[in-house]
Amino acid sequence: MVREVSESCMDSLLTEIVSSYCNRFYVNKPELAARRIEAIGYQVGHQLTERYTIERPRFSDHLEAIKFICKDFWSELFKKQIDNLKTNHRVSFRPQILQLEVAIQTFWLLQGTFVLQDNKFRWLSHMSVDPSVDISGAGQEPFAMSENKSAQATSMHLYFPCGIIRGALSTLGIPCAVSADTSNLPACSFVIRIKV
Amino acid sequence: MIVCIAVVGHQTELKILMEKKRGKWVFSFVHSKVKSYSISISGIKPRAREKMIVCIAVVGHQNNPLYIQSFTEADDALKLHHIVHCSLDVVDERVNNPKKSGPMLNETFLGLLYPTENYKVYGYLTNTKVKFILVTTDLDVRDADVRNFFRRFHSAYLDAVSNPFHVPGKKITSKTFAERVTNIVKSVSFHTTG
Repeated sequence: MVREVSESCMDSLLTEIVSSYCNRFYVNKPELAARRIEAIGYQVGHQLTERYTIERPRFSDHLEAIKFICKDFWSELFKKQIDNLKTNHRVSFRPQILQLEVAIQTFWLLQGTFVLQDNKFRWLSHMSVDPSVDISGAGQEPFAMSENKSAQATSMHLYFPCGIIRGALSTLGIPCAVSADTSNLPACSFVIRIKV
Repeated sequence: MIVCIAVVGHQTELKILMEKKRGKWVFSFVHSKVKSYSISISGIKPRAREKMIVCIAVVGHQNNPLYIQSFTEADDALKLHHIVHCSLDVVDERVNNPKKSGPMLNETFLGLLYPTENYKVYGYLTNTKVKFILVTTDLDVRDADVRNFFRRFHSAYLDAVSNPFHVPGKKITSKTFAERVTNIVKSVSFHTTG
């Protein structure tokens, strides 16, 4: 039995989470608010992973788990897959692989960084960021300030999905740190750093 | 079926009496009134042992117990805890030698056969490193039954974990989960004694 929830409800809930934590619960402490939101995301990620891995065979390595996040997990949550996955894991194309090279590759994978890029992140798609709002003062400054404010506003909304990804990976046995990057807006990149 | 054995010393001094009370052998010392061996044999056929699930346990990925429930009043909880604990080592061994067993799905395997009491221990490992241990007294149990049981148990576990009031890593305290597990156990037991 699959229960469905309307998408506008989800959007309202997420907006309200960010708004409550930033403006009511932890008014002048944005880092605390961010950590609490991320912790909520962690628990949700944990529970969702338990549910979505129920029929699957076990993952043999980290790459399999990351691919699961990019494909199945993302499809369940956002109805699309991750558009681009980058990693700093070096791949050798030489036919003979020396012992040392295998060791180096393994080392890099263990300290791996993965970048998941979603070109139209669903939870940010309805947010408008207008850089011409709040012009106070003269000169170049207001643009930089308002850009900063908009970046900060959107970054607050990204702690929840970062928490979800971190919870999902930790439940699969991969401790990591996740951060998000929104340089060009409807696209969003999540950087996963796997702890050794 | 033997119900009683007595041993008498050569000067009728040390006697041991063993009686079978309620299915168990009970030792007791007897005064010197007993002068000979006495063995009673009754003509009752031994009852076929039914499949009985003795205990089911859920263990987290750091080998912390999340849930343990036993379904028989004869054995005490400590012994069952011990059985479950020993089987965790077997699970770890199987997981750490994946090259030999190949990439296998959530395995249903025979854990350890407890030597004196004839238990069978089955294990199941989920993707999230949570282990389910099932202890049963049965002589021949079908693989399909155990898999079926684990599948239903897994979905009950999933619903219990999705409870927002459940703290991941702590014990499962939901009564609904306990009821569902009891129902699953009952329906599986009835099925195989048919």
